[in-house]
Amino acid sequence: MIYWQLFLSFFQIGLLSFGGGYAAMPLIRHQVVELHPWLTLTQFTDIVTISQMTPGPIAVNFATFVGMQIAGLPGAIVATLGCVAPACVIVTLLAWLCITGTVP
Amino acid sequence: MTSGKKFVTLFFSSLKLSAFTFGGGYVIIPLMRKTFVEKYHWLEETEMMDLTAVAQSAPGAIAVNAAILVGYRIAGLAGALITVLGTVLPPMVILSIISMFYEAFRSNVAVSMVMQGMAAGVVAVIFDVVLVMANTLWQQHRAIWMVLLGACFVASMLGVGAAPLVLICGLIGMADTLLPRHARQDGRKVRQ
Repeated sequence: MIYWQLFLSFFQIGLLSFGGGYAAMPLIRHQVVELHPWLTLTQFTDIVTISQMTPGPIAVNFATFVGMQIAGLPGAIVATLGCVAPACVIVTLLAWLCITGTVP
Repeated sequence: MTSGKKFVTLFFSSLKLSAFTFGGGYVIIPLMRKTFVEKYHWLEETEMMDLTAVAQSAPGAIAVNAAILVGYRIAGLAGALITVLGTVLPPMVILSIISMFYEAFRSNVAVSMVMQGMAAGVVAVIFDVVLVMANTLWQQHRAIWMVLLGACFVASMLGVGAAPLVLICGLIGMADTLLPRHARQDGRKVRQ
């Protein structure tokens, strides 16, 4: 199912991109150009370029664009959810640990 | 401030920060500090520094991570959800609109030329970032990182996916930290 594939691809991107947007780019290319036929290399380059001029994290920009192109607005929402889901879980856990003071 | 009003302020603050911040995670954090530390006094200066360190070391976009941390610190789980929503909504709306007009614009010859020109500029900017990052690594005077860098570059050229490479490098870095022989004095402090 396309929604599940979109979610899973962007979940992996969100989970493995340590170090911000530039580190995420090869992961995104692998998922959306090489692994799945969602974007051409030209489209990929276009979105990287557009992302430099629009606000927001590059992974979220890609999630929205790819989702829209592949499965419309629901696709965009699902892909973006997948992209921020790992951070939501991991960072909330870290925040909870830091703030409750269990870990320095 | 009542909790309802606090949520509204939190939402619109993160919405505004996200919508008007160009240049990614490293740019948005000083602006968040300005809003949440200086303007609303919801966070201490030191707390903001701790949150920044956590946001940078956790996986995912730095802006999203920082938003989760700030939201959670100020208003718990609901606060975190609200700040994430506020941070993600502006790029979603903008890229949705771009996506809808993409096909029509891209086939235009003038737009196509402009995109190619801008792509050249962006490649140059990214290359500059790569040089700065490689130099940071070089400054640590550790042969292992340079070998790892070279090996990963070759592997990537040969078609190995980025995900396994990042995972393997992470494991090597972890093993390096856990191994007792060279203690922590050798250059690890150089990492910012």
